Amino acid sequence: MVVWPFVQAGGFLLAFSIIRGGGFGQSLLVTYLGVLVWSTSALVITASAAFFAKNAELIRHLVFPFHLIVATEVNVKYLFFLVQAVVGVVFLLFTEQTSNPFEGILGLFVFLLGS
Amino acid sequence: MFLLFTEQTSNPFEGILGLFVFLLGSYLLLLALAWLFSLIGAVVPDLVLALPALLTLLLALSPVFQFGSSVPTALQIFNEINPLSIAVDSFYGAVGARGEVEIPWLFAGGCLIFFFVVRVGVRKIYRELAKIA
Repeated sequence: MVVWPFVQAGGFLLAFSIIRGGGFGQSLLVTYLGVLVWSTSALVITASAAFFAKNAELIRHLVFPFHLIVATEVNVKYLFFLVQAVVGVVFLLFTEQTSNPFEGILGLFVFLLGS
Repeated sequence: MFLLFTEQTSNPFEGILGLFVFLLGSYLLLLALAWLFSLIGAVVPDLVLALPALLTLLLALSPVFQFGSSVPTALQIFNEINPLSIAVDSFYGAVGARGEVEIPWLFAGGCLIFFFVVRVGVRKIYRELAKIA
């Protein structure tokens, strides 16, 4: 469930890229990151809207700060977003630096593996 | 990441700070939206069915796909008041994806205020809503 924004962002990106006929360069990565921000927010909103329906019985009968359950769910989703966003931003910054960002990423991986 | 920001902008601290401010603001926004929609979902349970389609439609109208000078004025105004569009715009500004790097102070400040307002409301309303849910 938490990797759903990743899949959704990829799907939307592919669909809109085909419709708009855009390239596969930096603009694609920028769009992907935007969709990732949006789809993470959308997932949080949709999941939270069903919170009371899922936990109504618990909330009626137990004395517990239930807003913490919502916060925990948000934390998990945010953590997955954070990992994807940081990787995306690093990749985006590589595209600013070099004409071939794959080369930069590959070089970094090879060095890390070697070291 | 810091090294890569030095390549992009003359002030790399600005880039890192912008990203950090955005991430902090977006976390507060997500938390506040989650609490708010958990309350709205209790009052209008059928909203869960409509939300995915609605949010997908709004994504197509958001600054992710609609940007530049060709966007109609009505859509620009709508995106200026849509919190998710503001989040996307702030993210682009923070990483300098579509122009100069901008630190999203206003976004983070707005999210902080929104967070505290929703937090206070949630504490009072949650248990009352649970009684009638």
